[in-house]
Order: sequence, then C-alpha cells, then structure tokens
Amino acid sequence: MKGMLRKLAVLLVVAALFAPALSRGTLQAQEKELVVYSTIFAEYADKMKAEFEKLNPGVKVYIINPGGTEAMIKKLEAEKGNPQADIMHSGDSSNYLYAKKQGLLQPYAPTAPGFKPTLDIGGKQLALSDKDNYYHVFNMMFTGIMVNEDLVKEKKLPLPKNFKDLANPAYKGLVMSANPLKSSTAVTNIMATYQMYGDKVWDIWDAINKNIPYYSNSSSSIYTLVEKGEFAFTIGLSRPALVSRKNGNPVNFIFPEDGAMISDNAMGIVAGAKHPNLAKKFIDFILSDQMQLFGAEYLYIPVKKGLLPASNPASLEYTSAQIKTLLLPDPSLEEKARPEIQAKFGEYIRLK
Amino acid sequence: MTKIMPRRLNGKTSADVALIYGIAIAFVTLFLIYPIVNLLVSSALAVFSSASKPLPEHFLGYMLKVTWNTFYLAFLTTVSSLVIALPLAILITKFKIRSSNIWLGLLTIPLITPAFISSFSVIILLGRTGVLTKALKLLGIQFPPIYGLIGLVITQTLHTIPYSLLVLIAGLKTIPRHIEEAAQSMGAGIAKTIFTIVIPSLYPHILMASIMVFLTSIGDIGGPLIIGGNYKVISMEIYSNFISYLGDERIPLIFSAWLILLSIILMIGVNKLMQLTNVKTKFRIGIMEYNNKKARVSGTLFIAVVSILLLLPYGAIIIQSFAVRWNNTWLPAAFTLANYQKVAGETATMLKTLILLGTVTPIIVLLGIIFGQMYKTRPGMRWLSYITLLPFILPGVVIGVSILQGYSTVKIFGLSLSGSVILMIAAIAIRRLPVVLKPIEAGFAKIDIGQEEAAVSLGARELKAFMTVIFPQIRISVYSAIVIGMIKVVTELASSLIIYPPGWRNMSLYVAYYVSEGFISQASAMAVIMIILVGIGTVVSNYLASKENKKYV
Repeated sequence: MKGMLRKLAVLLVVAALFAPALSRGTLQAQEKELVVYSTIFAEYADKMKAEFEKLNPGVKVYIINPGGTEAMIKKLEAEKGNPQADIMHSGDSSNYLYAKKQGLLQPYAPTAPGFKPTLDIGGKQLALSDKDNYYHVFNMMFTGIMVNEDLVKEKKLPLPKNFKDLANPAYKGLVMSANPLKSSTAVTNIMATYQMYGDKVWDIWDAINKNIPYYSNSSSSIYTLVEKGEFAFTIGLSRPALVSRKNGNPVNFIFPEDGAMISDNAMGIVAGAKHPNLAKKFIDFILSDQMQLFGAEYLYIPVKKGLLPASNPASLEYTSAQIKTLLLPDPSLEEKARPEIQAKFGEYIRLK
Repeated sequence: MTKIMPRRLNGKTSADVALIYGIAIAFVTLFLIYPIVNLLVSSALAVFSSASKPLPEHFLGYMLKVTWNTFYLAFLTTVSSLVIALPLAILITKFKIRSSNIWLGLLTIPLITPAFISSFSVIILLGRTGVLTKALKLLGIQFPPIYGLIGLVITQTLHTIPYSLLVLIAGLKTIPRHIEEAAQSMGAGIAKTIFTIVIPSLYPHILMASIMVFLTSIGDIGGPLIIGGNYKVISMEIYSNFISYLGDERIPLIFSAWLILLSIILMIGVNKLMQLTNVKTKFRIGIMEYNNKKARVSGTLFIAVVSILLLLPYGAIIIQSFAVRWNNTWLPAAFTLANYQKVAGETATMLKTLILLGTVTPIIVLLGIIFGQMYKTRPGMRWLSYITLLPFILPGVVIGVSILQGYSTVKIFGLSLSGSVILMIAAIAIRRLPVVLKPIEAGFAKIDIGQEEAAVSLGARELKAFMTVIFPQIRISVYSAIVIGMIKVVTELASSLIIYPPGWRNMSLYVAYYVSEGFISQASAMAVIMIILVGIGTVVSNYLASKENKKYV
C-alpha cells in the first residue's frame, strides 16, 4: 500500500515537472501559430483552420471556442494583461463595439481584393468595417422566426406572417427565445422590433412574452428544440434554421413581413496579439472570395457583391427578394434601447 | 500564503508532516482562495464604485424565491437519489447478487456521461415529442412538460445515483461482520438486522452521500441550462448574469456571496450532524453477507428493473449515436456509422483526455488524503474544510475565470502560465477536489484517532503511523474516491471550457461543443466512446482494488 502511495507521489512530481514542457513556447522567431477564438459553427471552423494551414505551410492554427460569444469576451477580458488570442472571430458587431471600448481589439484595414468597407443594400449603406477599422463584418444573416411545420400542421395553427403575429394567443407555450440578457442574437431580434414599432414596441413584447414559456439560457439549443418539435417557433436567425431545413428537418424560416433585420458576423485582431502578421493575413483570408463562397455553402450571405449569382439561395439578392421590409442595424438606437431591454426583459424573466 | 503550523497529535508537528500540509494548503491558497478573492474584490470594486442604479424592483423577494427553488430542488433530488441508491447498495453488497459487479458498472454510466448530453437524452425520452411521452400517451397517460422542476429532478437524480451508490457501498464494506452476527445470533431477522444495525452504522456515509448529492444539485449548470425552463436556481442566476450580454453585473456577485454564506451555514449544520452519527470501529473484520435465496432472487429482479429504467436515457444516447436524424419518431429516420468515423479521427482529443486524467487524478487523491488526515487529527484546521468544499457549489465558469484572471500575466521560467496547460490542470483539480475529499473524509470519520495516537506514543513517527495504521483502514474509501475522481475529472466541463489552452480540447469539451452546435449524433458517438473508455478504467480500478483488498483480509 505504501508502494501505491509512493507511485502516486512519483506521478505527481513527474506531472509537475512535465507540465511546463507541455505548454506551448511563446517565444518564436517566426510566427508559426495563430490562435483564433471563434464561436462559428463546427464545419466552418474546421475548414478555416485547414485552408489557412494549407495556404501558409508550417503554420498551425488553433481554434478555441469557449462556449459562446459572451464567454469568448469574458475570456478575452480575463486574459487582457497577457493576451493568448490573435483573433476574435464571429458574433455580431455589437459585441465587437463592446470589445473595442474595452480595449480588447487593435485596428487593421483589410486588403482583401473586392472587399469594401460599406455595402449598398437597396440604396441603404451597411457599414462592414468599423470607422476606425477595429473590426470587420465577414458575412450576414437575417432575424426572424424559425418554425416547425409538422407541429404547426398537427396543432392546426396559422403560420405567422409578421413578427407581431407571435402574440397570437393560440401560440401560448409554443414560442421559444434565447434569453436577451445573455444572448446578443435575441437582442438583435428585439432591435429589429424597435425599428418596426418605435414607442409601441413594448406593447407587442408584453403580448409575445405571454406565449414564451421560458427564455433559454442556452442560446444555441433553441434551434435544436424547434427541430425536435418541442416548440413550434423560435425567435432567431435565418442561417441555422435554413441549414436545418437543408438537412431534411421539417422546419422553415419566416422573414417577417413587418421587418427582417440584417444580423452580421464580425471579426477583429486582438490587442497585443502575439502573432500580428499572421492575424492580418487571416483577416484577409476570411474576406477572400474562397472563404466567402465556402460560407455561402452553409447559407452565410457573403459581404462582397456579385460573388454569387442572384439565383443562389445564399446570395443577398435571392434572400432580399423574399423580404418585404429589409432593416439595417442602427447603432444610434442601441444607446436608448439597451437599458430598456435590460429592465423590461429582466422583469419578464423574474416574473415567469 | 499564510503560514499555518498544524498541531501535532501530542503537541508538536514533525517537519515532514508540516511540509506535506504546507504544500496542500499552498495549492488551495494559490488556485482557489487567491483567485476567488481577487475576482470578487476586483469586480465588486468595479461594479459598486461607479454611480450605481438601484437594484431591480422586488429583487430581495426574487432572491428568496430563487434560493427556495435551489434548496427545494436539492432536497427532492437528494431524497429520490438516496431512496433509490440505499436499497441498491445494500442488495449489491450484502446479498450475493449474481454479477453484482456488472450491475454496479452499468449503474456508474450516468456519472460518466457528460451532463449536457444526459439532459438531451431526457428530452429525447420525455420531451413533448419524446419516445416515452408518446408511449405513455398510447396508454392514456399524459406526461407533464419536463422543462422545469420535474425535468431537473429526473436528470439530477439520474446523475447522482452513482455517487450515492459508490459512497454507500464503500460505507457498507466498513461495517464489521461481528456486530451483525451478534444481532443474528440473538434472533434478529435479516430485515431487523438491516434496519437496526446496518443502516444506523451507515449514517456517516448516508449523510456524506446526501451532502454530495445536495451540493451537486446546487452546483449543477448543465441541467438548468438545457431542461430547467423557468425554474430558476442560484447557479443559473450566477452563470447567466456572469457570462452575459446585457446581464446585471451585480447579480452574480450578490448571488455568489449569498451562496458561499448559505453553504457555510449548511456545512456547519452537517458537521454537527456528523459528530452525532460518528460510529467508530476499533478493528476490522470482513463484512457480513446474507445467504438468503428469496432475498437474492427478488433483489436481482429489483436491481434489474431499476437499472434498466435508469439506463433508458443512455440507451437513447447509443441509438442517437448511430442516427442520421432523430426527431419526433419512435426510432431515428436512418442509421449511419459516419458519426463514429468522424469521432475515431479525434485521437488527439482522446490522448489529451487521458493526459489530463493521469495528471489531475493523482493530484486530487493525494490532496484528498492529506486534507482528510489534517481535518481528522488537527481540529484547529477544520475551518479550511469549508473552503475546500466551495468548488462543489461555485459555478465552474467562475472558478475558471478567476484562475485565468489571477494568473494571466504570471510567467514561470519565461513560460507564460495562461498559454500552458498548467492552469487547466489546476482548475480541474480545484473543481474536483471536493468530489474525492468527501468520500475520503467519510472513511476517516470511522477511524478512532486513538489508534494513531497509540502508535505515535509507542514511538512511531506520524507519517509512519499513518501509513501502517490509518491508511489500510481508509483504503476502501480511497479506492472509491479514485474511481469517482477519475470520472469527474474526465467529465469536468464548466471551468475547462473557459480555460483550455490551444490544442487541449478534451472529450468532454468536444461533446459539449457538438451538442451546442446541434450535432447531437456526433456528440453522442463521442459520449459513448467516453463512457466505454472510462468504464474500462473503472473496471480495472475495481479489479485492482479487490486484488489489493484480499491482501488485507
């Protein structure tokens, strides 16, 4: 028995000695690795790693997903004194505005051919790059409603046309939403209703809230739950819903007639990145035609015009043809909306 | 680190013992006390110094409601977990049940399964469109919605039965046969002996199992996240306001402080109870087994039925792992091996899991033994047991962030700690220390300190006295601690998620990632491999333990 204890002790000592060796060296003459914090979905993450390594022989890309955009920011904040990441990748631009204010990002102006800092959408200008170049949008989706068509048929429910139709009392207990205090996706949807209804927005949410059984703290599980038929609808984004449909699930996405707003995916270089040159290359790589087209395979709308034919379901032209009222994010509204959303949804959730 | 010199049994502490205690205390100070205090103080300063707006209306009432919810859930889970585990444990240890090791192995599966996927498997079975829900509907029974208290009690009970079972079995093995023989020879029947002799002798372990289940329930995040619905508990309030977009930054601070306070009060109560129920054994003889055919047959039947019911969700995981899709149908629409092919390529993920397992488990088992001995022989140090228990209930993500923040700029030999796996090892070790410490403490609780004092007074050094007199008596508890420790190290998620450095994604992280990405089948395949790997580890440890045991009988 003594022997066993001694073995344990030896193991401990050996482990303690070897642990530093297991860590990565941080002093490199050449940039040989790139650390990307990203919450993008799995296949895209695998592809961007493989392709970037192929284009840059000898370079190893590490992709770390700490479990959601909010967790990613928390990790970056905790490591601020000694940043471990080179790139912060994916999540909508409001997260990046916050990260910029916290000093977590550094500017870079992309040189990818064909990328422009603004995108003309029906005469309106969507900013793709932060005005100081701290972050850049690399693809887009839309806000709206994912629906389980089987369950709707089974329950003989009407399909919602507008966002405000979610207030229909027939939908009681069948509408899912991520928790807006926790998830920026949910907030993007609320910001869309802000633009649609102005001062009346809370009357509509008071009614929709009655149909929502609970606000999910797991932002990603809302799509799976509708896919499984646990709930008929979820307030969410177009891409995950349409990919689920493409995979053969009985679901669809409704672009509400009263308004569907662009939800973007952004990225930026981490302030104090240890591999700044590779990081710059990576930004341009993600904005390259090749990666834009790859994203389109998973129904991410590219940010470069004319890359896809208008008949392609992932093209902006194709998608916007289905949208009656296309909304662009309005950062000037956010200042006013944030405390209201915090107070209102805080109350909804506490009283449930 | 504060220098605390433990008192020796008879007043002095020898240098070797002081050094060992010092290392253990240093570890906890460095990776638990300092980071948590640092995090709480720095965020409290940041949050409360700025001109703060008032807390939301009715916040106090809300806090009380959430607190009540947390404790009510923990109570229900504890009761249901123990009510199921106690008869199982007694049947397995005392009635020569055929292939009891196989049942025991199967019943450990819920412990090995990552919480994320367990919660999903409960949805597959009992959700609105679940397989069992549909089956019950055919029988005319409408199963209530699972999103809330019901779903939470079910998933947490499933998850904690193996805990209770392992702790109770370890306890049953320490009851010397002579007291039961005495009862029998005086004419008591088996049932009477069990209720009047066995169960009372088991109180320390029943209490220990209860407290472990209770605290596991309080600290659980996976269940509330996936299946909790509107049933709000403290751990979720901390998590969802800590890792948040628009959350109120004061809420996780207030709830964390509140939770620490509550758990200390709770632990004081439990320690008082422990003192009342302490049953000391002066020497050890083999355990009593009953040879009663009727009891054996009905016992086997009971174990089989309970096991099958408990394992249904895990059967669902296995089916899911071969599924292309599985929504709203009795069985998946189509089957495939593709999920396993994808997972089989993840050798690095499996290797990292094994490296972490091999590093963290010895650390926490050694720390567990050291703290167990310290709390037993140095009553003046028992206040520390409140601190070593904290990681049980504090959300893992808080522990992860605290360590990351505390050590992000620290370098050792020119190597940055935060880019290395050291912090990940430390975080998992701190988080899982209570899981091994508790069963080891239960083992110590049964030992009469007089034996060690006798050895010391006869001239043995304390270390030697411990090795020769004490360790042989706690080794069964140590083995069950190793098994539980290994499993809980492999399944640790919440702090790993926030702290894992590049290249260190392990199996548990892999499963969580693919579940949250909606690739439930791929995640299930990895979970199945994880269950098999850890299952083999458990069987091997059990085998080694029983071999080792025989040496002493």
